[in-house]
Amino acid sequence: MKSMSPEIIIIDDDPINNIICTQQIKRKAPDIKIVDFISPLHGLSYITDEHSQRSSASKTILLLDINMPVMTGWEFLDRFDTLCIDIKNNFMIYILSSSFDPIDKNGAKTNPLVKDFISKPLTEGVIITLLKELRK
Amino acid sequence: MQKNLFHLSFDYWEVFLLFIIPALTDISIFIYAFFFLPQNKRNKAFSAFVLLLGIAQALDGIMRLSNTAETAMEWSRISAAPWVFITSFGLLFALRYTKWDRKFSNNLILTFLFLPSILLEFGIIGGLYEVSVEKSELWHWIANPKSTTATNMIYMWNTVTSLVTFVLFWLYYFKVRKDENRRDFSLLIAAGNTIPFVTGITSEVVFPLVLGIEDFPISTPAITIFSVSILIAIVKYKAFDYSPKHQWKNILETMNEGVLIVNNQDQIMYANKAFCEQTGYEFGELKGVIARNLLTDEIESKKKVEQVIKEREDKKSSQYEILIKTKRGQKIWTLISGSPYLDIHGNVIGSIGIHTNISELKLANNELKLFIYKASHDLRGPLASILGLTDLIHHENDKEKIKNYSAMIDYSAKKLDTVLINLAKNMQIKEIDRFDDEINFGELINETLKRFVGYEGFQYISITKEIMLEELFFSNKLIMESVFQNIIENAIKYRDLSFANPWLKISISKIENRIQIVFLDNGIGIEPSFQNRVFEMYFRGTETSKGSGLGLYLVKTAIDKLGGTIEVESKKNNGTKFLISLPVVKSKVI
Repeated sequence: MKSMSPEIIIIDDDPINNIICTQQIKRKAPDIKIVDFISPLHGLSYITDEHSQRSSASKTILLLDINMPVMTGWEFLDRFDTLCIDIKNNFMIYILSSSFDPIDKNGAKTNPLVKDFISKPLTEGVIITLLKELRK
Repeated sequence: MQKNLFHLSFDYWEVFLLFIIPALTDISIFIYAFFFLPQNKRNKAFSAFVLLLGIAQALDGIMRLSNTAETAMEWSRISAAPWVFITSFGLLFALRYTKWDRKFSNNLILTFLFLPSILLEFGIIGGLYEVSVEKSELWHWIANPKSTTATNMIYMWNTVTSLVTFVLFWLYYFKVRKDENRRDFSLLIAAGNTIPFVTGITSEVVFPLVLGIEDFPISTPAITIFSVSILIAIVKYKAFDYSPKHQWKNILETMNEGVLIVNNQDQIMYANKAFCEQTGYEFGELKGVIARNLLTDEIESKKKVEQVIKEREDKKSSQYEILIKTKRGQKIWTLISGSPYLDIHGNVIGSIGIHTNISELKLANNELKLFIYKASHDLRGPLASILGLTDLIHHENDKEKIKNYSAMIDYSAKKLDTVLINLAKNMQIKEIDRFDDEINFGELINETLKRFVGYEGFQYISITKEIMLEELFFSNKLIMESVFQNIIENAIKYRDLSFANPWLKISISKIENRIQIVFLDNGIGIEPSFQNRVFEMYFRGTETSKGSGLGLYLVKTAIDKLGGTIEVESKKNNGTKFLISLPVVKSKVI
């Protein structure tokens, strides 16, 4: 069994966004483990490697961008859906995007894997709500 | 007296014909003017004029058939009777036609014109009009008015009214001669009036009085020239038709919108040129065809048309959009403004629709929608980063970190700027319509490369060009620059960093009347599954992409604009080849 502390994973091809998210979350919760990836594929292999051995005691939040080269957020979710149920149950996935496109917002609402749609940039208020969810 | 009137014979029928043919012509014109022209003041005056003229001419003809001098005298007195009214109606028509009548009250005009006529007519009936008849070799009988006060007054009246009429027509012509629509017929009418006027003076004044030649009774038949010229003005030049009806056909044939008329069975009865062009059919192919058959299989349009047909039966007009299939099977979005087509009694006999091809508009609308959503992501992304970074700076005290964040703000702002510049360029390219710049590929490439001096990675890549083109090539310089700029930029950005010598080879040649431009590099390449998507707006093919996703979209827009094609061949980690083929613009468009 590995570390049981709550974790936030960020997958976005824009490294600046990842820095912003990491720094903002750290400000509110310095103890939380934050991992970020600019490649969805790397993110996916991290999840499969690290989380398969986890217990279901702690939750993980995933902040996922949609518009990414090579693999979009939706394609990522399709792959994620094939993972074992234990991993999936541990995850709370939020779409983090700057998109106005209703297709993206509706996609986030209708996808059972996605909890909500968060509009960039990640603000303090949103982080507080997320942390509450995480510590439930 | 009664007996005398019918002492006629047809011995002089050729003389009779000279009078009766104009008489019949005038009476025919009367029938047309009175029964077939819209009845208004002007047309009524004209009708009365030609009817009386026809009668006077017929009476004059009958006079020539007389056997005895008494009979001839009677007929010539009778034939004088209409004249006091003919010239009055002629003047009345001239007043109405030239619109001088608007300057006076109607009562004044009628009193002034017809009170003298009526008084003079009484004089004629009362026998105050006196003529003498004499035998003539040529004309059988010639009537000469006697110079009595009454007769002179009658002649004076006829002369004055005719003269005023003559003057009015010419004044009108000089007033309107610059108006293309009225110039021709106003000249025609003025000239048509002048000929009998001059003929009358010549034959009845100049010939007998000045030259001493026998009176030549041609003036009465000659007036028919005047009535015929008015008829031509009405029929051919639509002189009295102020409705735009006669213009409609021209407008229908030259307008950009298609016009389609169908009957109640939905059969096509009329289609204008624009409709035929929109759908690719000849009118012959459309006539009688059921209009609904031009629809596509799309259900919405079919439903819409059923609904519209019901509306037309209720005499309702409406606007709607449907998909129409052209002869070549192409589908076009059409906006139709339709109205019921009514006969003169107000019964619905079909439907008339104005068709506007809105396919391009629809496409542009969709593109705009897509663009706004897509742009929102690309414009908002960097903007959101900037907002996030400023928020971080607010809460940060570490100077080094703040420096770092502001560098990131700078980067994001530049990214935003690039996106906007590219979008503006794309719009510029789409609007270009001039392709007559002489393109010197060598210079074009050199100029483009100069712009990359200082660009990250530019110094490591070797770019070679091979131009095998002997003749001049004309195109648009801005478009060509955009193509070279973007593809070269990609070659620099996506060079394979593991290679010591990244290169890009540009070759230009002419193959079978087309210009072929090949860009070949040894860069990181594009995954096969992405190759058909690289030209999409905002598509980015690599994780290392720092681009806006607009570069190749811009290239594609440019090549489309030039009517050319672009293909991409590439293997992952094994270089990329862009192959552009452009049609040759034969000569410089001047």
